[in-house]
Amino acid sequence: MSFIESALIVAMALSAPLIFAATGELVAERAGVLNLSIEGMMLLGAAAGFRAAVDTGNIYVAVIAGAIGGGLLSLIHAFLCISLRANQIVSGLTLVLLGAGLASFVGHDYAGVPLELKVDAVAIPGLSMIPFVGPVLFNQDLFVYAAVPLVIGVTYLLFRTRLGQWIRSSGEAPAAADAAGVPVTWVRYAATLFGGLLAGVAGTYFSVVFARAWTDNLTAGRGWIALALVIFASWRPLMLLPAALFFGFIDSLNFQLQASGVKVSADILGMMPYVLTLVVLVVVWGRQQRKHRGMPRALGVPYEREARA
Amino acid sequence: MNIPLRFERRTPGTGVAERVRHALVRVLAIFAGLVVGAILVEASGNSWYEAFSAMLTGSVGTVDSIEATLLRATPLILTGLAVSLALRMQLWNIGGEGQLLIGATAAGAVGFALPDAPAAILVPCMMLAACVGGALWAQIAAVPKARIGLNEIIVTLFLNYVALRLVSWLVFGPWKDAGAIGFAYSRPMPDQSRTGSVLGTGVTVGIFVAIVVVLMAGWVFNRTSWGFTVDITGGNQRAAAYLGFSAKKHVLLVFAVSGAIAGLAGCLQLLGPTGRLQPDLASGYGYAGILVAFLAGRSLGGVVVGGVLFAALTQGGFALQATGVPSALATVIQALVILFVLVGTAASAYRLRWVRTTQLHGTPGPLPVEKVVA
Repeated sequence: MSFIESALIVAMALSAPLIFAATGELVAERAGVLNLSIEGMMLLGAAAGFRAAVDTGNIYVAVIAGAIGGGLLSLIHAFLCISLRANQIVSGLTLVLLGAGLASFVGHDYAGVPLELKVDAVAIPGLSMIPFVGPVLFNQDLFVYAAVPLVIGVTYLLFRTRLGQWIRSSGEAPAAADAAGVPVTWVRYAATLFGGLLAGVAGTYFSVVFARAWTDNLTAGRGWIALALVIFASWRPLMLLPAALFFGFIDSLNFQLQASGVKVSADILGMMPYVLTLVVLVVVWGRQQRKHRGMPRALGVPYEREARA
Repeated sequence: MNIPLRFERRTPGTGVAERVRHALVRVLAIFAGLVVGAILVEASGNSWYEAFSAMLTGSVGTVDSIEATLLRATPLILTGLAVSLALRMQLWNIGGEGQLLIGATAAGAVGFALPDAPAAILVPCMMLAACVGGALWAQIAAVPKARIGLNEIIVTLFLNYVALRLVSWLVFGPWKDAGAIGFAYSRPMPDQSRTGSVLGTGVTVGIFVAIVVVLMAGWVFNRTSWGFTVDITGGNQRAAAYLGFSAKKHVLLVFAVSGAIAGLAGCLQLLGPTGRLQPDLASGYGYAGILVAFLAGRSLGGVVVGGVLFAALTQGGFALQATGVPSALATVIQALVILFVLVGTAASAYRLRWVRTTQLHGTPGPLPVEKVVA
């Protein structure tokens, strides 16, 4: 197996949780709620999911537990920011620390515990036999496969359904949406919760399927990369796929180069996802005209019916 | 049925009543954070009483632990100050962690370059280098913010990860301590650079440096016209533009000041507790500084109080190891305190009014007679 091939296989696995978390965040931001706590929600989801996976040995229970972990944290954010109109940045950042701290609690007795449950790759008959393309694209686990329909489904939801229109209008012009009968508060709650559930699933994938272990701070900043992906994607779900694959690939190079014994410092390689994200972010943001960036106009702004415009 | 209670928006007040409310919200938030923390400890199958007495003893119970808490408060006060000052211009400096590390790295470079310089020259040079290092590192976020409006939260945050890897690379590579294979720290700093303790106590000079910096910042930001300009620009960029203030220039300057202060925290870590460059030099002080700044609001005195308080919580957290409660309890309580401050601030914007409705004889419906309770 060539170096690039094995790097790409790991890249697919690493980009799946990024796609899950970023898709959830994208929907929340489209509804006008900036939730910075992805890292915290992923960590709590990872700890809860891992614990459930060890205790029950059932991947579905693990995913549900992880989703609940992320979802609960997102509901705190929703309550503070939507109902109490608290500052979304303060709430999000604080919830990162709360999520990381609670995850330590949940996973405390599970650090170093071996996981018996194994999520196998599912080879798609025929297609997986194609050289190079087969192992990379068609011999992955179900989560990786699920990422594509998820993104397509969310695109359909956002741009082709009534609910999608509600979500987008709540993020662009909540007062106008409210006047037109859109239940802005509930739409924002639902979108934030959706983001939390997906971040929790992303965390579960990371602990149960990818790392197969729990340690404190397991996700190591990938939640923040998911946040940056939403900006790269200009708030368009389909664009998340190439963006996430790119970062999954850079991330995987670290694993691959270490394994292949090339004399490259792990620290310099570990820096790369962040340095490259920054460079791309500056270039993308600098080149795009404001109107093409696609940032929801009411992003981060609490909606208050009584407030004067 | 009519519930005779009504919420209504409080008109924003100023002066003593507002300050009392501000302080009261924080005291109640700390209490609520501790209560929920206690519930969490019980839920994890441990005794809250044991955990909390271990934390109390470990943070302020003995002379040693008080010294340790003050040592921990030093970087927290400075990183809290760094975040708080940036917030005056509505800038979110989430990069205290990285600026602290880069400040320590710059100070360390000076330390290695001038191994024989007397302390009176070496220490000021190291502090200056740390400030410059932190300020320049912060500019990586400030320049895109000022020029193309790129969100500074993500940039400062990513720079933390870059700085951490940079320090890790240095201590395992060029600055490796040959005598300590596999340990994550650099060669030691020159002996004369290590700050001693004050008057025979275990309290190092660092905490006093931190308080002097807070006082200086208070003077610059509250008493000079530049500080006023920053406030105006932060409050309303368009109004500031009409007055001829350049928001871009101030973004760069405020980020430089903020980064320099966080960088200085790194230098003090190097001069005081560690004596070597090491990746765990920051160990969350940058992030905890954000919480300290939220807790303090605009008050710089609040930064000192908040810094000491959160240092005590963190120091107490380490004492938990023996009781079987994860030391992350300290982080959880800190985060809960801030969440309760958010709840309390939102709630105190409203007041509860008792609306007494009395059925008057002969009138067709209830006629409300209102009486303000709160």
